[in-house]
Amino acid sequence: MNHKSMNEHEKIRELLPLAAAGALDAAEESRLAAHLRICPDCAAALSSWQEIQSDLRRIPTPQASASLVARTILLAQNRLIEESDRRAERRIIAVVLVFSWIFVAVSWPLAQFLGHGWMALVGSGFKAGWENFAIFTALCWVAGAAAAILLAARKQREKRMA
Amino acid sequence: MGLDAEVARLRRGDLDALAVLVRRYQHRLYRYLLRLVRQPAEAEDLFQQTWLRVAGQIRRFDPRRNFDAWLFTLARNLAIDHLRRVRPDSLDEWDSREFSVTPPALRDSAPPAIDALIARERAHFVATAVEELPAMYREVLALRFEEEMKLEEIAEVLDAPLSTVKSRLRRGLENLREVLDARYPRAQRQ
Repeated sequence: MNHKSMNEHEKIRELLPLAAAGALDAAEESRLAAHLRICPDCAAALSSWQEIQSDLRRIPTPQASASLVARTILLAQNRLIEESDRRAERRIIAVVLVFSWIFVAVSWPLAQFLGHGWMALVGSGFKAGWENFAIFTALCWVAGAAAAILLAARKQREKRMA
Repeated sequence: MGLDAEVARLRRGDLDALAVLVRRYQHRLYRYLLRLVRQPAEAEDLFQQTWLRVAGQIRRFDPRRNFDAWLFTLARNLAIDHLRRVRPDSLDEWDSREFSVTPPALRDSAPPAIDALIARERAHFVATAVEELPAMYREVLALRFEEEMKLEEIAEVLDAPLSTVKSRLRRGLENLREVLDARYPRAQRQ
């Protein structure tokens, strides 16, 4: 064997485990096939690699026990329900938030309009009243948010204890 | 019903679809986790955690992706986190470039008495030899030969380029052969 074919031989040797694993690309496969036609050593080596890979495919499969599977299904289904409840809660909170802001934005002008007619909306009293109303609403929001945080923390504590 | 349909039902929150999927993957997923962590109790715990995570994250799953690869990636990440917590040393082997096999003297000097039994134990030899490999090789061999994944799918699970998968596969097989030749000389295996 000359130096060039010796080099090729060494390179092909490196490809043999991958060939047995079916992990060669088309170019590598045709190179390998050409070499195997003239190199019985590599052909023999390939068949011993193929033996190892077929042994690997025959390794017995450990079985997950029926009780593990049943337990897992139950736990995962509970998690799925929890997730679904959480999503529903988030949707409700989003709707309530949007509704509250809309309500806040329109309630003062509406109250003014219903009480004093169109002129109340353009008078100077409207602006001053609106500022007071906004401050009052902001305080309500802060109190509401604090209550929500406290309730959520309590819920988390109860969940952890359960 | 096909896998895609079951996954779509699960994404809509169908509890029965979850049960079907757990059963569909029960042995494959458990086997993969066992190959990674080697301890049955740990593999069982990780099996449960993986499905809990599936239930929690299924809506983030992109249906255009391969569900097998996504599931095994979740399992792999949990297994790596677990090993990092419980046996950090076992993760060093993930980065090891060298792997040497020293045959135990007892095994060398005590070949099995009945040759016929050796043939029947051949699969056991291979399974034991695989367990001795570093985790990075055990993993890629399990995905290729037991899960029969394509190289591209393995690359997705490992989050590694195809060239890395090929090189790990080659090194894994070479190391396996080294272990087999050292522990169970060819004449005994055949």
